[in-house]
Amino acid sequence: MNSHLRDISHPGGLAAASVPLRCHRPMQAAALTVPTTLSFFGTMLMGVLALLRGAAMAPALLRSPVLLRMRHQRRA
Amino acid sequence: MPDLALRRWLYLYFVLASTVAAVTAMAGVLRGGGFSGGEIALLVLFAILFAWISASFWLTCLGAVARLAGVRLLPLNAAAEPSAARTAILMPVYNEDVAGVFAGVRSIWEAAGPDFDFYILSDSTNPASWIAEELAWHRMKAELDGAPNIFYRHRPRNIGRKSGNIQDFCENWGQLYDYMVILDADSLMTGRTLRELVGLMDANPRAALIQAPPQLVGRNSLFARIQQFASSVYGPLHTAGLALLQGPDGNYWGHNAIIRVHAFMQHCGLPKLPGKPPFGGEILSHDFIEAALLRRAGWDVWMAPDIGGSYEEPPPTIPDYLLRDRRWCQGNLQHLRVIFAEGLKLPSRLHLAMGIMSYASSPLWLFLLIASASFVGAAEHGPYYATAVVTLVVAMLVLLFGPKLLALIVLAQDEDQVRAHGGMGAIGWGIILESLFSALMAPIAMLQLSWYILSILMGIAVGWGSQQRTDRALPWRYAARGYGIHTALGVIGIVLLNAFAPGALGWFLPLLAGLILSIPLVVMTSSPLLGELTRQDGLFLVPSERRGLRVLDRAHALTAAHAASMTDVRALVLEDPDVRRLHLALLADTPAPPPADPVRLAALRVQAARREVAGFTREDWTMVLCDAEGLAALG
Repeated sequence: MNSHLRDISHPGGLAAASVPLRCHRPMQAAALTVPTTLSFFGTMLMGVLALLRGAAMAPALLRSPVLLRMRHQRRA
Repeated sequence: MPDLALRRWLYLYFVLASTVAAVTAMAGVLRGGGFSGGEIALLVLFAILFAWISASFWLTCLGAVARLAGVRLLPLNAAAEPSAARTAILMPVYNEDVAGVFAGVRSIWEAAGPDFDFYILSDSTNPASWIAEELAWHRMKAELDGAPNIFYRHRPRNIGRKSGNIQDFCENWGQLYDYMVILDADSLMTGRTLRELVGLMDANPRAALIQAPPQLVGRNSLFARIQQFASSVYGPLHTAGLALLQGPDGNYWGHNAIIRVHAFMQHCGLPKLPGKPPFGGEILSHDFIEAALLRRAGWDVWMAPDIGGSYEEPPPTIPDYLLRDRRWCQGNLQHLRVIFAEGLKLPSRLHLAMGIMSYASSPLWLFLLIASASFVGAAEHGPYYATAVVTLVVAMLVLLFGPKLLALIVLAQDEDQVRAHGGMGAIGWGIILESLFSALMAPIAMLQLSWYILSILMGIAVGWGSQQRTDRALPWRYAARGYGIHTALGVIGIVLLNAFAPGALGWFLPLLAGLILSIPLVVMTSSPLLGELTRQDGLFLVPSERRGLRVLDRAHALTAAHAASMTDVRALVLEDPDVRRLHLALLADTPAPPPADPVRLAALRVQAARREVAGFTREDWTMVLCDAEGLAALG
């Protein structure tokens, strides 16, 4: 069969090397301290609790005199 | 323009103030005397989501002000003298369209000349892609008179995915280079931009990474053309805002960026996360983490919004876009495990949080909409809840569509850009139609991303496969199979709302319309013909279409010229001695590991020698093609 490379071959023949000579040096592993599952979920739990505490305080905050006055004015 | 800290505080103030105002207003209308648990939940959801889109809105406002005032967005100067630095341009590929990849490399090579070394770093696991890449590389070298600075490396084992691919380059050849420019398989960069990036790195020794934000170009489907238009018209405001808030705390988008090799090698060896995928294992979205690690080590990471000459192609269809989002979603959610890591700078944590939120917002929107609908549906709550929904929708509309108006105002100041987009009329119509399309697509994406998140939380991981990057009209049957569920959910939504909250139906109709129309939307926007028709009508035009773009046009011409020769060429290694010699020469440069099953290999060798390959599986082909000894014996 006809060579697939014949029509595309460089006059010099096949390419010599596909990559330069290797000059090996390892990458340094990043000391990325990843939280454990427990501390991750612990942090999440703390966040949720903080949100809940904030949410529980919201009704009291929203009954503040300023906001009540705003609501009454709007309805009036 | 105020200094970086002041800009950030101002931005935070605007985001928080608008959120507090909106939440207060919302709370005021909800109820007079106290709140139920459901109402509090609704308020919290509303606050989170309002803050999220308000952050995006104010970012665009900041970008608009900067553009109108002509603020310098990258406070760095490039070196004036020619660079003596050595820079490698890396193109990692993984079972990609071979003709397209090599056309892109060649087009950039022709633009950048001899100043750079080019590495095609193949991780292709498909033997057909592998051999086609070898032939394409050889052809390209032959056509370019040998081009000694274009290298090809195939990695026999795909360890660590793309970041592992880059790591392999760094460990083997990184010491030879000062900088590396990472590309994606569909990336294009001009020679001027590459040289300018090198000049910027030369003159700024604290900079470890400069991101050149890529502009979307080059595709012809209607969906892709709409994205290209949006990227061209709205993108400059977004990148300007980001650049002004980030400063040297920038981010890395995974490609079209220049990186200082020794800083990267010293600080960006990525650890494997404990546990199994989807949250554990290899870090999938490595780019954000690498930028965070460089920042933690004290290096600067910049974005250069106005450098230009940096391009990539958008996904051609809605399903391709959403499939890419599936991988990014998993990758970004995995950052939940890293966001609390020790030593990261606050802006890096915010980058990670924004990445997570860009996907987590979808299910939150879904919850908010369901909650709103149920409150509106509850008879005892009366009209207050309808008013809340109206407030919510109007506020959201301002935040979502305001940036588009700002983009139009900014673009209108630049006559040259107006002409390049087809004139003010074309831009105006483009924005209206793009907004309509976005409104229809948003609920489809919301539903799909919510499902992705649910499946990821259930522990269903996805692979990191190659992307479909070519334009093609999707058949109706394909769309019906993939989006029938969206349509059904849209119809169910209408029935339920009609039954339980008919007053709210009008408000939810735009959302439900997107779901109900998802199948025709997917099919029609995938059409290259409709893309071409809109182009002829002057719609969604971008500068690269109006004026041409040399690096892109050349890549397209080369792809068209070589596409036909990239059929399945695996068997040529057995049939054609020249192809076999080429393959063996490349195999000698990157030897494959010993076979896992020598008995099976012995049987395959016999079959290969007889050319009885009809029953070969992909794994069989891989074993045969990695077997230098067996192939050499064929003569």
